[in-house]
Amino acid sequence: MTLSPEIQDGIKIYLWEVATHLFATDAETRTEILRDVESHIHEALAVHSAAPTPEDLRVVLAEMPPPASYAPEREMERWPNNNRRLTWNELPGALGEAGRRLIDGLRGFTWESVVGLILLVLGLPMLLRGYVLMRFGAGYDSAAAASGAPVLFNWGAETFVFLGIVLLSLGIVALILACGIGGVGMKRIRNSDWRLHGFLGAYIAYIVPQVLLLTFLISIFFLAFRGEHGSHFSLIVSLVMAGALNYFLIKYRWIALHRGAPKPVIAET
Amino acid sequence: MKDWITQLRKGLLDFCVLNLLSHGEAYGYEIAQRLKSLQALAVTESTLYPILARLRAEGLLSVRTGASSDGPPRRYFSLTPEGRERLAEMNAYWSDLNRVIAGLQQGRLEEGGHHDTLP
Repeated sequence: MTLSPEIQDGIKIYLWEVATHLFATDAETRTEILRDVESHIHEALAVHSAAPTPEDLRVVLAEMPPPASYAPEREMERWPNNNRRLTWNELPGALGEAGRRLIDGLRGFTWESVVGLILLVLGLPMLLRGYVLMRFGAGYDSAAAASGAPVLFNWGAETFVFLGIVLLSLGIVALILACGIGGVGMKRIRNSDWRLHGFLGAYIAYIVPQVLLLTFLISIFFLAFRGEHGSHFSLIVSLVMAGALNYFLIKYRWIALHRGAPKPVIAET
Repeated sequence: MKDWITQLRKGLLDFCVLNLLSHGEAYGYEIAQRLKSLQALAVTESTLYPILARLRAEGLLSVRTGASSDGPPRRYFSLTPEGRERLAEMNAYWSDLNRVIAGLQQGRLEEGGHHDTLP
């Protein structure tokens, strides 16, 4: 049975909503439940029609309980009068919605997000250092002649410029790699029907590098061509521009992610 | 749904699932359809699948995956030896409970009999 992208997206949305109500449940149990629910939807669709349409999916989902009913109420009921120590798996449930999302995100770190984070940590200083070295190298001769200060390294301006270019290039490559690896992580999350990894991991590996890369590139542009207003003004303007650019970037990605997906149907109880 | 019915059903669902699987393995959708056909139980997917996951985590059920032409692999549930043992205990307890309640309904307190399984 082949399902159209619309139907697949509809199933993903239902599963995602179920998953959000299973935050207090440990990861293994949650995965099992989601797997069973997903299988259930496919079986129900096959019973409905040999070639299911989005309308069939709406009917199937309407026959199923609303995602909120998957919340493990018995676990939640335990919190108010319970003085025993919490286990790690129970902690998210005790922290409320925001805490649950945070802990789940932390638990969801993947190799992509970790590598992306390392590249980000390495890449940004390399970018900054490279930029400074390039500028220092370019003004080396005149600065040394003007100040009369002793020369620590008799490398010449070309060496600083070369080092600057190397570090700058490495920094840019590292940040682009961080974005690319973040993209791989994001794809894995989508392919696993949103059940594998936390959003924090995806955010750190995917969105933060983009924000920083764009901020830095725009900053360089403004610092290099700053006019009579000075560097502070141009830096603030560049940060605002980077923020606006990233807002539209993230918004575009969010729309692209949900394009064509049918609105989930919530069954009446 | 009245509260007392909900509470009573919650306790009984594990028992029903184990009994259903005592007749052979079944996959999630199949179990759901069979239990849903018993209207008095009023089982939904949101009550069934967490129970299956919990019973498996407790070691009372085992799972094997089998291919399905209709989507993701089917997960077939079956009783483990521990599950069969638990079910035997539950069945014995259920029989005792039934007899005691029937006695109470008829206005008599049962004496003697099989009290060994009642706590």
